[in-house]
Amino acid sequence: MDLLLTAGVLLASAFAGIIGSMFGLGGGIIIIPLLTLGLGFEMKDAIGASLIGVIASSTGAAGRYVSEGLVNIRLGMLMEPATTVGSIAGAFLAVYLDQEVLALAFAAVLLYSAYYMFKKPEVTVHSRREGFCRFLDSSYVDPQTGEKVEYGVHNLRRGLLASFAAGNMSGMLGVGGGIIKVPAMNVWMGVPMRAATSTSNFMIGVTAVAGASVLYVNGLVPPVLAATVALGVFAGANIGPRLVRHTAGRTLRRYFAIVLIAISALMVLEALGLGGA
Amino acid sequence: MESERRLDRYVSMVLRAGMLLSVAVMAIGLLLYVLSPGPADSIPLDRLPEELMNGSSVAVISLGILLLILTPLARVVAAALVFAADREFRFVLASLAVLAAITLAIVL
Repeated sequence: MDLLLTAGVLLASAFAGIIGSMFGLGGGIIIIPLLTLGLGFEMKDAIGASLIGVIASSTGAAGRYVSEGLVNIRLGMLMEPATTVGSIAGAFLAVYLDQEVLALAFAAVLLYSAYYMFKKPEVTVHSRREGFCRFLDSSYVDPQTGEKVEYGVHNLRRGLLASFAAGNMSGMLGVGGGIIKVPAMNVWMGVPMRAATSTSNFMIGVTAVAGASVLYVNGLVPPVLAATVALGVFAGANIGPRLVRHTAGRTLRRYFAIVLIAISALMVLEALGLGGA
Repeated sequence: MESERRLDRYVSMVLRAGMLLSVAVMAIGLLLYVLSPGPADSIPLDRLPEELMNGSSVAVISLGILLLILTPLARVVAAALVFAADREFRFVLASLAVLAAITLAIVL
């Protein structure tokens, strides 16, 4: 890699790190097209490097979000195995299902979530006294308003099913599960947006570890490119959470809906063979 | 909730330590690589110690990447230990399920 290309990779990954850490996404959906279409890397190198980037994004941002008390670690711990098992199932199912139809169905789900986030106000629930959900009560101090927010989690079963589906999608389509976990937590489970994006950030690192170690052991992680991507993403993942601090939860939710629409548009283009990513 | 704060403290400590360590090792490796560029092929895990001894810059980079991959696992273990200390066995179980699911994914 020459100097110009290195600078390009660093910039692209820093951008993916900022967006990913702000919205609880891995950023693979940003970094892979930038590396392949933008900078001319091969797809297989881009995939290996981007998975390392996802871990960097999660580790960098979650360290900050956890210490600010925004991450619901217990909820994350419950959703992680569901996602991982889902992605294993997805990898097997991918052989039997039509990728294009799947991508279109997934895009429809994303669009519906976006519509919901634009139209419906956020509904959070108060602490639950019965059932397993009572262990998942959490609270945080909103960095923008300075107010203490207490919330409970409901519809745990549906949420776990959604994370299984999110894992499935990431196994079948190679799209990170964060994009569906955030709406699942926010829309169904009553987790405030700020806590949902932070918790998703926390989770995606673990989800990416399985894929990353398989690629690493098989020599499919290009060391120099992956490390350059990781450093760029780390820089971005330390900027993103700072930007989010000054954004109101409601605004964050609206921005997230826009990201959802953009991603579903990308997926539709790709399914119709127009994207090339 | 005091126990929640303690959990946060330990988990974020592990995440930050992992980040700083892997960034430092990767940055040193990349710097060495820039100073004397060579082949950038990935190094198999079993040859990593040997290549590190030989002072290969790509080996240093690979070690940094390995540390980065291990960091999320380390934070699951850290959380499991805090849950165990707080006698929250449901969540110790959940943490073990996370590790089991990852192992399953790697093996399959």
